[in-house]
Amino acid sequence: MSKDLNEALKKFKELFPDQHKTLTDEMHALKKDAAYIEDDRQTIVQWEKDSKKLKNLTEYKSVQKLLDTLDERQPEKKAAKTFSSFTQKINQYLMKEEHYAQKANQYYQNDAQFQTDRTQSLFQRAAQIGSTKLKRSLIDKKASFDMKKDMVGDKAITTTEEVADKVSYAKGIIKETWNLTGKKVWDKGKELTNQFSAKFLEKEKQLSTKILREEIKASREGFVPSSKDGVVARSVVLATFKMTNSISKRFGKINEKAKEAFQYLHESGKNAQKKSQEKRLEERLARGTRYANPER
Amino acid sequence: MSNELNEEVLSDVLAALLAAFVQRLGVDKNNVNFDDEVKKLAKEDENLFSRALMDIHELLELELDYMPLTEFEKFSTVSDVAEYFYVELATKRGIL
Repeated sequence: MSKDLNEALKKFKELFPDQHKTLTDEMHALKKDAAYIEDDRQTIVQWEKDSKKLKNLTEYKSVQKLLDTLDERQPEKKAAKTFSSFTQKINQYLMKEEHYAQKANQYYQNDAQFQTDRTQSLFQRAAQIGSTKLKRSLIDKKASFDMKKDMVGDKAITTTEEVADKVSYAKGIIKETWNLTGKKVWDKGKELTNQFSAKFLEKEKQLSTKILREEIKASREGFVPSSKDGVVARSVVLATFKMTNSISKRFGKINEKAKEAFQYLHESGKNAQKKSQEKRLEERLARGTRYANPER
Repeated sequence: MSNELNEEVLSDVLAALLAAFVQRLGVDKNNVNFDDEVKKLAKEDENLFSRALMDIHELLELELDYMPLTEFEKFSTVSDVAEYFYVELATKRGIL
């Protein structure tokens, strides 16, 4: 601060002591504010450099100019005027400061918007990448599935062909090698080699008896085996035949295990019983000896 | 794959076939030909014929692999029945 300004302020203090105090306080406050503003300015400059969003610093420069005017020589009588003007300028400054604050806020908002946009953009990009990946994955999976389907299809065709081959082969043998055409079943059965011919005759009799027995049993129960319901019911039984067999086998295994366990327990029990008997025998013998020789 | 027809399998099939046809369809066992049409033998009674085929399945311990009461579509002659059960039994016994 210049010498003249000090003198002007001294006069001002004499003439308007209260106002001088207020002005001094306000000046100190203003200096503090100026320091803060400088910090902010630096920050804003940095922001400007960084983001090139804040371009206009003229408002700030004008405030700086205002502060510089305090160094100029001013006559004592103009001190009050200067004070008034100074107050006005301070108000203007404060308004400018507010303007700066708004700018800063705007910058923050812009920055926030920028960040939001960026985030959104990133999100969209991520979604795009995700979508692409998903599409690729789906395409890969579909290709893999198609390949597997083709393989399964080929295998199914091969299996079907193999089965068809087997069946046609077997049929071919029956028809051509054994020439069933024009033959009687009974005669063909008897034509088998001695071993199987005898088996055929015996088996036919045995199976006929079995069917007959079941038929008699069914008729006693008021059941008509050849009725439609009977046929369907029986077909269900036949279709579950394999399952029943499988379950029986499983239970068979369980039973075997149970038998083994029971056998083991039985043997353990027998061993314990034997040991107990031996112990009792020893005791009896010991008692017998004692009785035989009471002095011991 | 065996090159020859298995006599044991054929013997079992023919025995079961005759037993079932004689007992269920009431035919004379001396007069069942391989070329006979099953519909005629069963006197057009599909229930009766189905039951006869089920008997054969049970006697040979085979499972059904077709819907019941579709037998007239599946089998035309006695020869068809013999072939079918031969293939089924031979497959079950691991011959085919």
